Amino acid sequence: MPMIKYLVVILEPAAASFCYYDVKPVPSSGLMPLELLRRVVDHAIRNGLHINFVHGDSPLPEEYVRLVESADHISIMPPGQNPCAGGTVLVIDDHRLEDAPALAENPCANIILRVGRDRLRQLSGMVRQLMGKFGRLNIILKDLAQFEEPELQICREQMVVIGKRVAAEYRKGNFIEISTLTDRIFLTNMNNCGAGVEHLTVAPDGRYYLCPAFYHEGPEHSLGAFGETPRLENSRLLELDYAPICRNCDAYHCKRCIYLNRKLTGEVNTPSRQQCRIAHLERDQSRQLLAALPSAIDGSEKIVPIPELDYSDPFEMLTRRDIDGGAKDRHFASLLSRPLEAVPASQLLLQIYQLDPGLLAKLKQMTPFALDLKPKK
Amino acid sequence: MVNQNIAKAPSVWMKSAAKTVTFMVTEDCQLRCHYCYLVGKNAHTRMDFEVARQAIDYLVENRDLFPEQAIVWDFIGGEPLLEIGLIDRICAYIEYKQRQQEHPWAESYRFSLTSNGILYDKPAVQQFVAKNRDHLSIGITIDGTPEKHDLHRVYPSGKGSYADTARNIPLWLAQFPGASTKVTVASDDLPHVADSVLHLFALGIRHVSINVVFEDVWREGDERIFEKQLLELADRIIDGTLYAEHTCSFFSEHIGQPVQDNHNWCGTGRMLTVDCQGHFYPCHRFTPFSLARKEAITIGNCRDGIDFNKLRPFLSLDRFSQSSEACRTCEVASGCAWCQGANYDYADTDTIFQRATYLCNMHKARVRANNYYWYKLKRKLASERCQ
Repeated sequence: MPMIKYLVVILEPAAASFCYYDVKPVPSSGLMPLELLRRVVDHAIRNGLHINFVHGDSPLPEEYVRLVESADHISIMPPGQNPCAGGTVLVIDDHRLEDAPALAENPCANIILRVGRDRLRQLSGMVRQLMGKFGRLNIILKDLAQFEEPELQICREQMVVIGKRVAAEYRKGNFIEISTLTDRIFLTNMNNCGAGVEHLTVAPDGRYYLCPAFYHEGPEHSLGAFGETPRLENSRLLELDYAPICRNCDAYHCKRCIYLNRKLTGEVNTPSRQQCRIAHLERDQSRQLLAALPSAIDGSEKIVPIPELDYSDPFEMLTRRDIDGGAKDRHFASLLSRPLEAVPASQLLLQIYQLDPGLLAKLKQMTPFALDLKPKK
Repeated sequence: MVNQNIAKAPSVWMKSAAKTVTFMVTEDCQLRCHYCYLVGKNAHTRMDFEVARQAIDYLVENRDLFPEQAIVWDFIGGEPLLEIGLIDRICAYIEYKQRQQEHPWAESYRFSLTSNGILYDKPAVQQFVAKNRDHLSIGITIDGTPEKHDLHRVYPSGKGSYADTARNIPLWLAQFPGASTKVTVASDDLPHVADSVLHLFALGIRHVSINVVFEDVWREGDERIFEKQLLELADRIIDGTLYAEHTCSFFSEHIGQPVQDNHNWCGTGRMLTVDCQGHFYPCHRFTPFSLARKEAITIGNCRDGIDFNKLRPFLSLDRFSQSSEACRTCEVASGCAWCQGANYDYADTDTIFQRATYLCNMHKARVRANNYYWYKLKRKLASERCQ
């Protein structure tokens, strides 16, 4: 069983989508039963779990608000809802951007913007419209599963425009975060969704799911009833080590969405071409943004430049026939170890020893030049 | 150990440079072999020529998607020789299409069939053999002694098929002298392993490719019977100097070591199987017809082409991602085989990333007998050199 750190709790069947999935009409409506919510909150508190509550448009009755506020939490909600005490993340769907009540200027706000394929060309305009109203903007391309070359090209053009704006803000000392452009710059390891590894979802039907997307796929995707141990068979496949494409990739900011993986490739540990292409497109725009901002970022001397790649999907590199396996290994090792390049070898070896003393013996076995082979006098 | 006194198994034509495309031309077969993984045999499902033509057009017309230098056009069933007329028509179209497109495959292709051999001497089959002799391989499956063969390879009535297959072996070997046969071993025929391999050698088949089934059929103690059989076989091959002209794939110098690489064992995904309806599969073990517990995994069809997203898991499979800790650190892991289709069929979830390890004890028994075989053979050859 993985080390779950937080629960995503869907407060009503029509609660806002904050990721790639669509909210499907479900027969039952109304809020999660109060008794169930009480048990979930109690479970979270007793197990040291944080909660992300996902709200819909229904206002919460007083007793719900009291329960929600009794736990360490973040509330993910559409604009117009009364923010609860605690962190709030606003979810704005592109078609509701114009209808949303005017958002107050707030340089600390956290916003998720979901953009569909038909509005991709307006993406940079939407970001411009939201400038000054967020400290962090998470962009979700909600139709990613249907993306082909034209959509990727539009994304690239839009990212260039947004990148220029971000660069201008950074030069003014306004270090805003836009997930698709700035996250990769500051990451040195994979930082992905973590569904099933870091978090599980509890839905209004009283069942566990890997994430809200699986709830909307139907109860046959449930991991079992809340209160019982979640059925997580083959859960190792949710971990990075068991994802052959992802563990050879340095698009560290990628969502690695297991729902899209399952839907498009049939396997939770295998990303689709669309996921890899968009992550690498964003990685490349991040690379260019970083290169254009040599000293504008605080602590920039510690930021490792992002290397340019001659492929846009690590799967291409993994399956190339004109490069032998050894050359591929060298490429991926160099790519993934780049953040460690400036660390002295003695420091690295100390860290290896502290992590797994046996690994030092294995390294020595694999590195014969470390032996003194000179004949003894 | 390089030794000119030891025969080598025939090399695979073009090895990994060739794409293998398998047409399942029929779901019918005269036999109902007990260990057969094809669970849905029937007399009514056969491939329509139009389906084959669409698949060939797609493959030959999309060189960028299929850059392999060579191609093996493979035909299986059911029993493919039941559809020899259709196969003949498909092969003629393949040759026409490759030439028409000036495709490099026109100079580098083979046709391949795997058969139970019952119809091998029929005129239509013999005409096909004569016509395609220069680029044709045919494998006939015969399991060993009449006793072992007839234990599993039976007609629906229960009658054994040994006599009907063995009758055609001399003709087959005369036409394909270097041919090898493929033998399958299940639990109840273990006591016949040694006699069966030697029987096949005696029939004139010099190379016997043999494996134990991957499925969950093994019983407590089977590994001891298996090891005893292999030790007896080793003695008889070495004492009879049969190793000079014969090979049996149970004995290999390259098994029984820790594994250093991270490669997948099987070639699923690099191959392509087309079923009677024109659906594409990463190999024939993912067809509905071959799976007992899970739904089929299609990767496209002959009209729309391949869904490359569905192919990505197959092409990125590696040893580490699908193996348990015990398998990853196993000291005798090399040569331990797995079948991706069987893995999927037995997996706890709908994944190809979980190895079925039912043959673990059988592999370890094989490794012990294999160590004995090579130890004894090396000592014998060294002793002969000294004399």
